[in-house]
Amino acid sequence: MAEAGRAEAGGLPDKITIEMTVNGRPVAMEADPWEALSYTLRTRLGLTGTKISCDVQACGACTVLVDGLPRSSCTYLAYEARGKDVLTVEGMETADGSLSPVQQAFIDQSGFQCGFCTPGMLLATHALLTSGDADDDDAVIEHMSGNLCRCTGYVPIVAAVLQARKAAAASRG
Amino acid sequence: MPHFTHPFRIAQPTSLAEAGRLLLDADGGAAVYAGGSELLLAMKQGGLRYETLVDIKTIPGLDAVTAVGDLVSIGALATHRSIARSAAVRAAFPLLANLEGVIANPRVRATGTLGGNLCFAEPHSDPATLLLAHDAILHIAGPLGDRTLPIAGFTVGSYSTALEPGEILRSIDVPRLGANSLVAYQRVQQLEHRPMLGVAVRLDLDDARRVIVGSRVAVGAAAPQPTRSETAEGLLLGDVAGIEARIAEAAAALADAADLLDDADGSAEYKRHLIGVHVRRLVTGVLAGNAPQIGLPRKRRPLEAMIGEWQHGRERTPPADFKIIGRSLPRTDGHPKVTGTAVYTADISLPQMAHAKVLRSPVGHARILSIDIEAAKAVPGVIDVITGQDLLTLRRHLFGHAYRDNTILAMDKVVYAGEAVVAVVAEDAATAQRAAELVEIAYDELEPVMTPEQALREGAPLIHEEPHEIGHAPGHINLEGRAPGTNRLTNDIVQWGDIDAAFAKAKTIVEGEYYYPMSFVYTMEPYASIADYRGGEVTIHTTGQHTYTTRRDIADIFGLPLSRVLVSTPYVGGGFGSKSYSKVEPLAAVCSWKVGRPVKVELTVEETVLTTRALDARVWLRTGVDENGKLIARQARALMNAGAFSQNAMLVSAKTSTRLVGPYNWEAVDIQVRSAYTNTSPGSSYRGFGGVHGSLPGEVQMDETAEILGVDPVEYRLQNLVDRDHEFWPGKRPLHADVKANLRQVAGGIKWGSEEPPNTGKGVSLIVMDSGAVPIGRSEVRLHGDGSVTVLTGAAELGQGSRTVLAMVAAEEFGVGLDKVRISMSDSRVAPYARSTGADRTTIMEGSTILLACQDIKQQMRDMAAEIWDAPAADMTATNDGVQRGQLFMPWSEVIERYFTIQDMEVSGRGHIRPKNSEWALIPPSWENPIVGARVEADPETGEWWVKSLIDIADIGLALNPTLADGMDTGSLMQSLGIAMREELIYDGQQLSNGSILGYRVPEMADLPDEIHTFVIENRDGMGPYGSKAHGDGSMSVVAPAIANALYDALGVRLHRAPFTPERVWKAMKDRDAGVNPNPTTGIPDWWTATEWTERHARKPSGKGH
Repeated sequence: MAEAGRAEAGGLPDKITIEMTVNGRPVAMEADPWEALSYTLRTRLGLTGTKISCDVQACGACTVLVDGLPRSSCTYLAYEARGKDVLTVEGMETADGSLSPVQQAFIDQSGFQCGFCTPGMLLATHALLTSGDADDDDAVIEHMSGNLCRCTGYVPIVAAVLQARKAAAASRG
Repeated sequence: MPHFTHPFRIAQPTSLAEAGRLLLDADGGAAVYAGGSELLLAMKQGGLRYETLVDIKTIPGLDAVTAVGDLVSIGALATHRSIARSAAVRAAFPLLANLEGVIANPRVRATGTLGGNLCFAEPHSDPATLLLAHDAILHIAGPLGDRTLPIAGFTVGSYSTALEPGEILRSIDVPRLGANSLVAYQRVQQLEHRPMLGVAVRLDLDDARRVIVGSRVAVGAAAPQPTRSETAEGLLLGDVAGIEARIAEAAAALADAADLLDDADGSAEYKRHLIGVHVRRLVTGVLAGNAPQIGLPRKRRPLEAMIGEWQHGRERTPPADFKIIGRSLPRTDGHPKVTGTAVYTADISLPQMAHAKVLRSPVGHARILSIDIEAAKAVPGVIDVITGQDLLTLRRHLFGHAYRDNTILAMDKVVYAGEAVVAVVAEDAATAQRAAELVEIAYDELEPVMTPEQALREGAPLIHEEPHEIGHAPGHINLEGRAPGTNRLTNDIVQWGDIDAAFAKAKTIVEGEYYYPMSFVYTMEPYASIADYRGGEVTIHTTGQHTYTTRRDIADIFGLPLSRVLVSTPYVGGGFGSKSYSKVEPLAAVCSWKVGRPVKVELTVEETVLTTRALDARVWLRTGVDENGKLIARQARALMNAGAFSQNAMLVSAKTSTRLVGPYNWEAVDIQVRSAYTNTSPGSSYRGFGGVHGSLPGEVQMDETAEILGVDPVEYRLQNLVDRDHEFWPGKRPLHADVKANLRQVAGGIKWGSEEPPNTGKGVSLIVMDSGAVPIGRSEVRLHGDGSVTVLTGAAELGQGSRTVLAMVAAEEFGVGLDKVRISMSDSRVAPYARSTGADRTTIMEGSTILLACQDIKQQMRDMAAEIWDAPAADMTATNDGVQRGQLFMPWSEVIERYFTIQDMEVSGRGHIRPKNSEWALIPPSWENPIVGARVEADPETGEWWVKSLIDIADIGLALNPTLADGMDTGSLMQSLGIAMREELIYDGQQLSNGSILGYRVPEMADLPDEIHTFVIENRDGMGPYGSKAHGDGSMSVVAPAIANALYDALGVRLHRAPFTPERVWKAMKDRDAGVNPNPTTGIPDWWTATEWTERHARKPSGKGH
């Protein structure tokens, strides 16, 4: 069926040119139209910090930010990121190479064990803190419930989110 | 697989007319692509396939949300997120905004659109239900012109709408409500998941607000399509006063109108009941101005308060006699794990690496008649297609540490749906997957046996017809339970005393049947392995917990020496027992052997469930109490479903038998557990090895016994618990714990005995478990000339923090900071043998070997200093910083430099432990005694419940790193709460019906109790370094019975079957009200006696201990 589709879908391109910004750097490539962003990041760009777990947008391990909003990169087509800013865990450190307040909070609160959910958790936290909703505890729980963790029991992650929330509030003055 | 399997192309029209033409021209081969959150998901799961996706996001203006006169128009491409945040929607329809703000998760809401949601018509989706109450109007563009349709006529069935070919939804108009219109909505759900029910109510009142002049009621997410009932709506009309009398009939009419589904979410009967409850609550609530809000299921305490308590609970004074030990030092793997640089198996790529995907059996039990691989082989990019027949030239084509019964690829028959049959190796995984789908296999189906009851009945079809070779590491596993010629795998017996005499003198006898469900560990990281078999040796990178047992499995398959099998375990994304022993490593290895290139095997979560799950247990339990109320006898019979291969099921079954005993002073014990091969996914270890299988019956029955005797459940336990240093289990290590004191502390933690509000209750549960597995281990430590240290250990870092804690032991011994200690990964290329990473053994056993290796170095350093100072070695004392001789002191670096005459030399030490002729001879190496106290609040109408408090104890001798120690417990409490709440793997016939994260729903942050913390008990009374005891399973083994006991306290119903889903709680309340006896058993049940015939086939005891 798929093979036959090549003829029937005549006129549509085999490859799509993608120009996007990944972790602050411009990237250009020819990608398959059917390529998931997680594949592009992990396989083409070697950014293996983005993890694949459930692969059906339920667990949050593959969370990346596209123009500041969290996306499941397992089911987000790479070509959709054309002209957009993609942030992965590899791009979270500050310009001087030090850990971001969110990363530091996860270390300080031991907000991880195996670390497989951690990149997604960090980016979900980052998105929460820029969403304007973070002061509302219910919104924190609702937002972060989209990311699963099997090791920590979530409590240290909540502690890390609260630490990062305080740091964000302090930096706003 | 981080890619779609089947290619498609993208069309990007600039107008709806062009989009419509593209759809018509493709004649079913194209689909409208909006946000894609449901479409791409369905395509990824393989249910849907299109050659072209018509991306309508390039058409301008379709995502606007605008208030126009008496309505708000929502463009079909407006995302859930933008609708939830739209000022126009928030002002006019706050409820709709709130609902859109909790659809799925933040990622789906940022991408998915309301239009896409309505057009996909997924039956469990619920915005359409609320829009029904709003009389929303849909604007549709089509080849024959535009049209409008009321939403009531739009969804016509499951995944089915009234859209004609080429038609595209343009916008959704929601009419503004009059000032006297009230709307309320209830969704019944686990947050972040599809709801099981949505109920919408709208009431239009007259100006005096005394008469209902119009109404809408709708139900959705519980039937093929959202449904309104005009009968119900008619019944609600009329005077507000007295409406209570009309609600029940209206709710019944609504339930009648909907084609309610019996499905995994619940029975139609339960959904009907919930409709009754929620229509009443919505109608009365909305009239009273306090309708339920959409959002979290209950009001939580402020997070700061919860975290503050939890942090306060961890504070303690660090022990004065150590510099490193006892401190909550940050984990050494922190930086790599928060920067994405920690490498896991799936992150590794090797030059020339190929990818393998497997075709799995669709049937549970069948002979393979033929396999046609030609079409698959012809696919460009395919390197090879491998079947079981290709493995016949290997030394062995089966593996398994206990019995070699695990196929790599099925041979002449398949023994469960999901068994790997054919492997396709290709240049990329998607090609391999597509090619695998072209393999044609003819099966001759055999009668399947799905449960132990079926498998152990006389005359049942045999799953394994030939006897299997005993594996390389049966170790302490009892092989004598296997009954050849039957499906019986194990038969574990724990007996002491005279059980018949004990029951004969018992004044009170309590008995019952209990069930703990089949479950799935779900580590975030699925199984993956990379193998590179070239030049007479094989290198493997894997997610396994047992690096060195896998090394032996692979050596046995190929007939290779251990020195030529190099197994490396990088960071592991969670284990919890599910990654113990070998999983996909043999498959990766044979693929690489066959194609002569490195091959990566990366399983999906769905494939991971089909590789290993965790066991269930059906248990009958009887307790005898003497005339003084003292416990005297415990008797149990249990059946467990081992699945198609033995894996580690034999140990789980054996441990279940020991964990059914309970830490009480029994005069007589008679416990027997049998497990059987079945045509299901193989069962194996899960955190606690049968602990909760034993404690659910044991600790619920303790409460039942206390109730019959009229004694407080905590007091009753205190009266019967074993004392410290008592050899409560004949011949085993005396109990090195004060369980009574620990129970008092937990009871105090949940304020046992204090009054609770209605429908809130408390429960406790405990167990004493033998931990540590086999006391065998070896480590090597190198002290370098600059005083820094390298530790070589085979323990794997699964997330438990072994690399941090074990490094802390060496840092303490040599007086250096953690930054000066480098610790190996679990890698047979460099690190010495480690039996396993599991059974809570790593800190106490590998830690002890590291301590011994450090002492070995210190001994050598004394001798070296003696030579340097030309003085007797007996005068030398090794401190933690160097060697002391009277007033003289020489730091380590100086000893090394002066002895060897060079700065960069090193001294290496070795340490090992073994069970023979040593202090480790007495088993178990460690007792663990987790205790949990729980407070729950329940809804007595719906059966829903929430945990208010979850408090446990970690009696671990000494917390080498308190934060990490405590973290084991917090994680374990929440992990086990999942199975108390909702986790259960379900077989529907031969197929696993919920083997994915969409169907098998683990705890999420919203499930957190208001209060959760751990009391860490440190009496330095263990065998591990500095008096530490085994730790890691935490309270996994006792959460479920504590919850069951708390639910009894709250609602007065006994729950004998986990998970305690709301529907089961509701059913138990109905049974209670109908006077049904929850404990109907009398004597050993028939399901057990029907398996007694297998004894005739049992292996004869060898007479040797094991």
